[in-house]
Amino acid sequence: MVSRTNRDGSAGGPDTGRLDRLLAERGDHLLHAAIALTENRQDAEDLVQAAVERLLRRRRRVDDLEAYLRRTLYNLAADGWRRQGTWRRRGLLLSSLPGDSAGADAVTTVDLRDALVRALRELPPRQRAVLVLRYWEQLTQAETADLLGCSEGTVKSAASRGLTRLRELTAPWHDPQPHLAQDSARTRETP
Amino acid sequence: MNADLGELLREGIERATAGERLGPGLAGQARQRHHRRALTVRAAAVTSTAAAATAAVLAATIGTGGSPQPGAQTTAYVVGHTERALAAAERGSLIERVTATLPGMIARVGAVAVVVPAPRKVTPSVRKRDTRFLSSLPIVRTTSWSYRGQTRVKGFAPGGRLAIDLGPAAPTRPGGPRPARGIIAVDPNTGKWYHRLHMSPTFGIGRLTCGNQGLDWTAAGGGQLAPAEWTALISKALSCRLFQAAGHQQVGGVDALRLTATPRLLRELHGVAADIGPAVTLWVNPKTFLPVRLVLSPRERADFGWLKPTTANLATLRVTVPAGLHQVRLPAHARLMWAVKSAHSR
Repeated sequence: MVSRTNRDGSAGGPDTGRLDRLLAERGDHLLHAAIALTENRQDAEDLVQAAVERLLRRRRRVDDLEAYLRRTLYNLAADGWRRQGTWRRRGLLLSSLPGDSAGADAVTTVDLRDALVRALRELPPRQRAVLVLRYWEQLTQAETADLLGCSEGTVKSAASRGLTRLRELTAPWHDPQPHLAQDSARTRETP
Repeated sequence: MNADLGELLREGIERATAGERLGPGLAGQARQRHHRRALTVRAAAVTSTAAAATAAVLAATIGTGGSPQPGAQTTAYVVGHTERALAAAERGSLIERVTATLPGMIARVGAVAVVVPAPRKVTPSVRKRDTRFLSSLPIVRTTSWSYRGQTRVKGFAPGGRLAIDLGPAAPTRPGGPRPARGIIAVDPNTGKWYHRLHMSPTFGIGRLTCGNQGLDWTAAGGGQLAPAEWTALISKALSCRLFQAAGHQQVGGVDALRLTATPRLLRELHGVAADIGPAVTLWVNPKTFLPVRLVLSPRERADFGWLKPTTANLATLRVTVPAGLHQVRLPAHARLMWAVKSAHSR
């Protein structure tokens, strides 16, 4: 068997191939999770990279690379990880969303979806991670709690508070007319 | 209700992430960072026990006049020397001359505009009706001289014709009274000269800090990078270790040291400046360690010259108004801006 050396100077062997294969097969999914957890693609790539670095540090003690990578990604995000040299390119992701040419109701629904993703970024990191795990990854409360290393009660309350906050932040999309009316009235009163 | 909201959230995330693919180089970058971190940790671990040995090696190196051989100079060596050389130049030891070529595809890059902000508005707006181009011709090349916070810029139109000349005013006669503060601009093609101008808020390179993974741009203000700010950006990028040594290359008759922007710097430059190419390369003089050339894209590059602050050279920092030109007085709140107008928008 030919022995290889990684760029990190350690014996490569199966680790390098396994990691590359994992990223080739599941990298996009991890990136999508990271995009939901951060503010833009740049930060998302950095979050994935940070998780991969953690994996490289501990790879000799890790059997299930994907589970470790996924767990690390979410825990880094939940613990408030953020890219230090961050760019603020807010709105880039949403502005590049494809348009929807369906009827008015469909447009409203699309706006609400977009607004929810936008509002998600306003939530505290742990609530954000819980909501992404529960509603995008569709994990159960128990699975979410296991992955984040907390109790089911914590997951339940974080999800509840997160959804309540999302509903508050996206109120204009749920019931747009009263807000428009109030805004108009306020405008008329302004001298 | 929660289930509905959760479902809409799921759909929103699906839409927001549709088509996003993980770049192929991520694993390699992670390995490189891991490698660097491992080296740092190892170095820190051995530092305390190896101090005496290091001192001995250093003494031996100095004693034999040893220095890194050409071609074997490390990134840290080149970057450290270049940083120090630029810092010395900035402190006033040299006048910096930069000749920059601008992308030909953009018609009005570098045209100087006066932006008149609305009353009580701190940040100048760039509304078209508030903007006045001081140069009647488009600018495709600039030569600037900078020294101790003063900058003179000459802008040239296609064909090499002088389009604008701006900077601090020269005394009306040699040795005469000091002219008023502020800068003036001369457009020889319309026969007008404008006074007086103040610089608009710049991008704020000086406020940038080095983050763990690159420059922390959140500290920077808005606005555009003016030509003279590229040097500040080079200094900052060097101090944040965002350039890496890449051998030697002949540039302008000098066997210059070549430094390439790291992928992170490239990514960050792409975020703030239009038309940055796939590679950004800096060449520095191997003797002075001062920049010789910076190439930002196949069409945009800056050539550097470094002049001693002699009386004659200092005179190049000031603009003289040719006789017979008509003076245009600008509002006190007028600010200079580097306006970018693409060919498509005109």
